[in-house]
Amino acid sequence: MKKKLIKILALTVVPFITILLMTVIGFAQPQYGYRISDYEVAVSIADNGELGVTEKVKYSFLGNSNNAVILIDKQDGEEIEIKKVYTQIKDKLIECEQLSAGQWDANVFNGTYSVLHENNLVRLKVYSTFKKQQGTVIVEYIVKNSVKRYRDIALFDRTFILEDWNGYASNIDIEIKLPKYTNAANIKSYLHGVLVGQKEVTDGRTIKYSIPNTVPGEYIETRIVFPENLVKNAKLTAFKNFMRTVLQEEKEYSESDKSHLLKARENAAKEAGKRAWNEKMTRKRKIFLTIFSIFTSVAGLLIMLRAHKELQTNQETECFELDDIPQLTPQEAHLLLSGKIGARGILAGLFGLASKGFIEPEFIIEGKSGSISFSITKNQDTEYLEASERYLLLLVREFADESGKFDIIKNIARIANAEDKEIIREKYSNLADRVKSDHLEKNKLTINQLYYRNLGLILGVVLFIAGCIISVAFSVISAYLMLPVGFVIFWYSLNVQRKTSYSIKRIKALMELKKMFSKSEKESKKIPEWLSDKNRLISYSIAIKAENKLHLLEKTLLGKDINIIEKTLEKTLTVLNDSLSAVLDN
Amino acid sequence: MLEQILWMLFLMALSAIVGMLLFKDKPNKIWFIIFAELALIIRFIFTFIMFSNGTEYSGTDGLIYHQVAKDIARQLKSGVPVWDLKYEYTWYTVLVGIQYAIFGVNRYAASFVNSFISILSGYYLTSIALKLKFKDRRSFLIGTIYMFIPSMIVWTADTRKESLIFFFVILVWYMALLIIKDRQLPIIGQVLLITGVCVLIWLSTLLRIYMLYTLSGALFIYLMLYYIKTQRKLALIFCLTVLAFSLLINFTTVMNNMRDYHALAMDRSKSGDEDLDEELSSIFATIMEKDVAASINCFLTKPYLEDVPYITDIAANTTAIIIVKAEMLLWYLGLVISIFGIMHAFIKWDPYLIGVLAFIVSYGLINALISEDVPDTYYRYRAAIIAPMLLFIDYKSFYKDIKALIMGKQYSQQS
Repeated sequence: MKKKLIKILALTVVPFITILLMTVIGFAQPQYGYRISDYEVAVSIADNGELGVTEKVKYSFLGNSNNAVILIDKQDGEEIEIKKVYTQIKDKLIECEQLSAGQWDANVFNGTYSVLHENNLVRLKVYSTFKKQQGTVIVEYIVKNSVKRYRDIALFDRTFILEDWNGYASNIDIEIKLPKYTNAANIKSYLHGVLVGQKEVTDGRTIKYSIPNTVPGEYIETRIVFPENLVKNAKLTAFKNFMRTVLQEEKEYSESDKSHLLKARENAAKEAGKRAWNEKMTRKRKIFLTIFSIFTSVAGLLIMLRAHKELQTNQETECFELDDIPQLTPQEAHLLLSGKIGARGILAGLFGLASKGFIEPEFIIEGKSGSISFSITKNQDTEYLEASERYLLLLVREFADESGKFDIIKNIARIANAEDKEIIREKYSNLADRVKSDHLEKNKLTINQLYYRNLGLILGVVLFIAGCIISVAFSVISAYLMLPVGFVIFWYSLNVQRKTSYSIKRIKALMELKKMFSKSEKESKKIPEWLSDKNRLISYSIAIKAENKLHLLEKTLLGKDINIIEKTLEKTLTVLNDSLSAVLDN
Repeated sequence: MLEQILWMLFLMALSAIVGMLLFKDKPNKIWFIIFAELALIIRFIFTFIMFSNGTEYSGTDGLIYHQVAKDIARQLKSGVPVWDLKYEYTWYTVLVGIQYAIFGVNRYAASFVNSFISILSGYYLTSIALKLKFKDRRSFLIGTIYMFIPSMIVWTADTRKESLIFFFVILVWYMALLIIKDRQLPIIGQVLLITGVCVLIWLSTLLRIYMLYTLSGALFIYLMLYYIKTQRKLALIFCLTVLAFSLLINFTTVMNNMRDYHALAMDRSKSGDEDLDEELSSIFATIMEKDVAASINCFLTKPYLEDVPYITDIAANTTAIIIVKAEMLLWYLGLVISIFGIMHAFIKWDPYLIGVLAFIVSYGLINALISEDVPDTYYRYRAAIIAPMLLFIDYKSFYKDIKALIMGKQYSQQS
C-alpha cells in the first residue's frame, strides 16, 4: 500500500515539478510590454481653446498583443473626438474604420479601431496586420475645452505618456503651436514626470519638447502658460488671476521629492539588466543545445554504425545455401522475409506439415470458388517437430471435423460469431508467438549484439523525447534532427534480429529461391532436389510469395493441375488474409 | 427566458439520447452521460454570464457572426434561396442564419446548439478511443477531459465556428475509422460514409481553408499505410476517392475563397488585389518571415504562464487567470506524456494513429507558420488538435513495450 502510494505520488509530483521547471527555464520569456521607438506629437491650439492633436506612434514591440493601444489623457470637462486613425504599411497610410456594435460589415480584422472612454483617459485600440509585433499608428483627434483661460493667462496642461502606461518609449518629440504669434518672453513652458528632457520656445508661437526616453513609472506632462488673449474665443474657466498659482505649483513641483522617478529609472535599469541577462542566457542556451543536439545525433548514428559492425562480425563463418532451406520451417521462412506470420505463414505452415506427412491436402473446386482441406494422417509422431509446427498440428486436430478433415476457409474465414473470432485471434497470437520464439531461439544475439540492441532502443527513445522537448521548448531548429535520428536508431535496434548473420544468410538463400522460381520456362534452372516433394514445393512457394510462379516450373512436378492449384492458392490466401485482418482488427 | 429554457431542456434530452445510443453496450455509460450533461450545463451558465450585458454587444467574432446570421435570416425570409445567399467571413454564419430564419433570432439558442455540438464531439472522441480498443475507463476519461477543458468551454459556448470545426475534425476521423474497422458494414453503408467524409472535408474547408490539406493529407497517410499493411482494396478505393475529391475542392472552393479568407495575414497595403498569385505570394512572404522553431514553440506552448494575465478577455479576472494557468500546466504535461503515446503508435505501426498524428503535425505547422504571433490566437487555433492529442496521452503502453523489448519478451498488445 505504502509502495503504491509512493508510486502514485512519484508519478504525479515528478512530472509536475519537471513541467514547472521547464516552464520557468524553457518557456519563460520576459514580458516586455509595449515599446515605442518614435513618438511624435503635433498640437495646434485654436483660439477657442480647442486642440487639434496628431500623434504618430511607432511601436517596436506590441507586447504580444494583436492591437496597438494609445492612451489619451482626458481631464475634467474635456471632450475627446477621434477624427482619423491610420496605420502605416510599407510607407502607405491605410485609413482605419471604427469598430463598434452594429458595424459588423467593417473589416474588423484589418485596419480598424475601437474607442473606449474611461474615467480620466480614452483608450484607443488599433487593429491591423502588424508584423513581427511592430507597427506605426497615426491618430488625429480633437480635445474640446482643453485650454483653461483665466483673467491673466491661458494654461495648456496635457499629459502625453501616462504614468500608469507601463511601457517604454524613446525619441519623444512634442510640438505645440499657439493660435498666434506673441512675444516669446510671455510664454512659459514646463515639463513634469521625467528627469531628463528639453523644452524650448522656438519662436513666438511654437514650443518644442524633446525627451530621449521614458520608462514605466515616468510620465510626460507638458504645461504652457501664455497670454489669455490668444484664446479669446475660449470660455473663461474662472474669473481670477492664475499666474501666481501656477508659479506656486511649479515651485512645489521643483522642490518636491522625485525619488519615485529615480526609483522608476533604477527599476528600469534592473529590468533591462535582467532582460539582457535573459537574452544572453537564451543565446548561450541555444548555442549549447544546438551543439548538443548535433553532437548527440551524430553520436547516435555512430553507435548505430558500431552496432551494425558488431552484427557483421563472424558473418563469413555462417553458411547457409539453397539446399539448406528445408532446415527452416515455411512459417519461419515467411517471418524472415516479411517480419510477420499472417495468412501466408499459416498456409505455408500447413503445407509444411503436409510435406512431413502429418496431414494430406486436398484442393476443392466448387464452381468459381475453391478451398483447401487437410486430412489428418496416421503419422502423428511429433517428436522432431518444432513448437510452432506442433501447435499448428494441434490446431488442425482441434478444428477438424469428425472425419478428420480441416477446411481452412470454413474453419477460419467463415466465422461470424464474435466469440469464435476472439478464439481465432487468441490462437493466431499463440501461433505467431511460437513461430517467433522458435526463430529467436535459433537467431540468438551475442552479448555484444544484445548490448548494442538495448543501447540503441534506449538511446533512440531518449533522442526522440529530447528532440520533441528541446526543439519545441527552447526553439532550437537543429534539435529537430534528433527526431528522425532517434526514430531511425530505435527502429534499427527494434529490428536488429533481421540483420544478424543468421537472418541475412537465410534471407539471401530464400531470395535466391524466389529468383529461381521467377525464371521463365525457357531459362535453364536447376531445381534443388528437396523441392521434388509437391507439398514442400507449395509450402515454400507460399512462404516466399511465389505461388503464382509455380507454372513456370517443370510441369512434371505438379502435373496438369498446376493452374487449378495456383488459382485455389490465390483465392484461399485472399480470403484467409481478409478474414485474419478482420479478426485482428476487431 | 422560456424559449431559452426550452432550448436547454431539448438539447440536454437530445445529448442524453445520443449518449445512450452510442454507448448502449457499455456498463459505465450512465456516469459518462451525467458528466456530459454537467459539461453542457456549465456551457449554458457560461453563455448566460457572457451575454449578461446583452447579446448585441458581447463578444468579438461571435458577435460579428451573430450579426451576419441575422442578415442571412432576413435574406431567407425575403425569399432568397440558400444557394444565392450573400454572406461574409464564414459559411458558419449561413448555418446560424438558417436557424434564426426557422426559430427566430436568438443568440442564446445558437450558442446552446454550439454547446451541444461540442458535447457530441466528446461522445465521438470517446467512441474513437473505444474502437481503438483503449480500455473503457481510459476512453471515457478522454471524452470527459475533452468536455471539461476550460478553454474548450469558452470557445464552444458562443456563436463562434470553433465548435463546428472541432466536431467535423472528430467526425471525419470517426467515420474513417468506422469504414475500415466495421467489417459488417454493407457496401451502401461504406459508400455513404466515404461520401460523408468527402462532404465533411469540403465543409471543413469552407470553415478553415487549409483544413483540406491537413485532413486529406492525413487521411491519405492513414489509408495508404493501412493498405500497405493489409492489402485491403477498400482502403485504396477510399484513399483515391478522398484524393480525387480533394483535388476538386482545391480547384473550386479553395481558389474561390482564398481572397476572402480573413484569418490569413494578407498584405492590405495593396487594394483590390484579387489576383491569386498576389495572395499566395503574400502568404509565402508571411511564412518566410517567421522563425520556424520559435513559431512551433509559440503554437504549442503559448500563452506562457506569465502571458496569461495579459490576455485581453480575462485580464484582471483572477479566477479565469488561475484556471487558464492550470490548463496550460496540464497541457504541457499532456504534451510531454503524448511523446510516449506517439512512440507507442510507431512501435505498433498503427496506421490510424499515425494518420491522426500527421493531421496534428500538419495542422500545427500550418498554424504556426501563418497565424499572427499573438498568444490568444495560438491558444484558440490550437484547440482543434487537443481532441486528437488526447488519444496519445498514455505512457503506460510504451513503458510496457520498451520493458518487454529489453527483457526479451514480445511487446504488449494494444491497451
